[in-house]
Amino acid sequence: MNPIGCKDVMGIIQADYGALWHCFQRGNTLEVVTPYLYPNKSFVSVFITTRGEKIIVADGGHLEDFIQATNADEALHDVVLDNFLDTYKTQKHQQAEKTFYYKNCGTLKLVPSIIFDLCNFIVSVSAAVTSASLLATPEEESKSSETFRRQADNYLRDMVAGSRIIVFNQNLEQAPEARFSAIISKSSRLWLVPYLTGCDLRYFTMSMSNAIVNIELARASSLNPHIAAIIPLIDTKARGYEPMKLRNRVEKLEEVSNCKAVSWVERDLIKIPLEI
Amino acid sequence: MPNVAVKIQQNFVSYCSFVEAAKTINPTAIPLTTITSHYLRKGTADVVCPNFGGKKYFEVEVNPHNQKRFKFKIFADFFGPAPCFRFDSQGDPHCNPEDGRGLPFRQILTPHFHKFNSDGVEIAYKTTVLEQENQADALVADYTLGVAHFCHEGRLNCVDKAYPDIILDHVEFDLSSDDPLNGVRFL
Repeated sequence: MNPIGCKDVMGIIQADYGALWHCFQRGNTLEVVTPYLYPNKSFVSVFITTRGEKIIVADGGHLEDFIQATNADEALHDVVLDNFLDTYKTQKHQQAEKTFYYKNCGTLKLVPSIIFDLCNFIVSVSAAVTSASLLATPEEESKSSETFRRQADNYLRDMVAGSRIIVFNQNLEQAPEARFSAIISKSSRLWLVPYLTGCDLRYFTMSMSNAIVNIELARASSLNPHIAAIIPLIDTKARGYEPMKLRNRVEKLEEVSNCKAVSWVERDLIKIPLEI
Repeated sequence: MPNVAVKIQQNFVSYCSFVEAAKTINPTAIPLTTITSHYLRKGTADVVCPNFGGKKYFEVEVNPHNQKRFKFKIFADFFGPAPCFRFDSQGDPHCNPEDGRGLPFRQILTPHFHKFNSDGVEIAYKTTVLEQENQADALVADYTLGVAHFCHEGRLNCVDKAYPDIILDHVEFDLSSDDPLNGVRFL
């Protein structure tokens, strides 16, 4: 292929990007379709009108409609909006239960500049609220971890039935801040089982970090001589389980517990440390 | 909002069969009695397609203050919660993935249809009717023509008719403008 010059590439870029701009008359307002995109792959339109001596460029209420259609937290919407309203010096106007975002200027020469700011504002806000809506909510995490807890509780209860005492989700008396998903005891010996789960990587990471601290607290307490084994039980079916990104935490967990972590898919392996 | 409709991607052959299969809207009269959070009028009717189980329905949405702005959608539980086939008369243009023709061809202005490709990605397209500006304008100006075209493209009929009757309460309508900034004071 022949070398490409700036003139060639700029010519085609300007022509093709330019072809994405369109203008339509909407009553006393102009709708301008821009090359900017919402995260749902719709092109951003802005609306140009005049009020007194000012030229107004507004979003037509579309951004608020987009935000409302996402399920991200409302408080987070406000934080995102406040941040970008300030960054792009954009204004907010509420009327007849609709919310408009807009900028204004006094001359036509500045219209491209305020379109540039308003479009970047729209893209930034819509991308931020979309990203936030993809994060799991505490309710989703609670539902997901509760499902695993129930399955694991039932499995362990059946396994130790009759021969030992098992309690679930309890703190240790000798280390009040240490909490374990299951505590199995027989005579003066203890088997501690932390469950590791999370509906996304963030929650899974927190679950593992908490387990590491709980184990260290138990090890540092007067109970340590009575601990027969600490067996981490990993919810390998959880959406947040990403082995490559959790590798160091799993190693640390196995180091402090002095036991290989057991995967839910191989849960029968838990019998081995329970025989100690 | 997910970028890929996983159920459609995984069952793409079934999806194509569903879109191409003859389907029936029932009942034939669809009153727009539901008011959405954005004051749009909405109505629904079941879609019957013998070889496809699960809930399937047709949804109409009309803006009472701008009757040129309407949407028709087909939902089928089997293909996920989002509409699997739809039409927008007005609104923002859609950006399709690159297909080898270059950037300007990726932008599909309204009115347009939406369906999914084999990657589970939603794409917009215009029929040959919608590509002709005068015909497209006529369809947008009258949702009765719009629903007839939607039913033709989506292989839908309505028991003994070609398309359903959309019933609006005309008394409420304000036909003043399709200007979204009409009456907004700003300063």
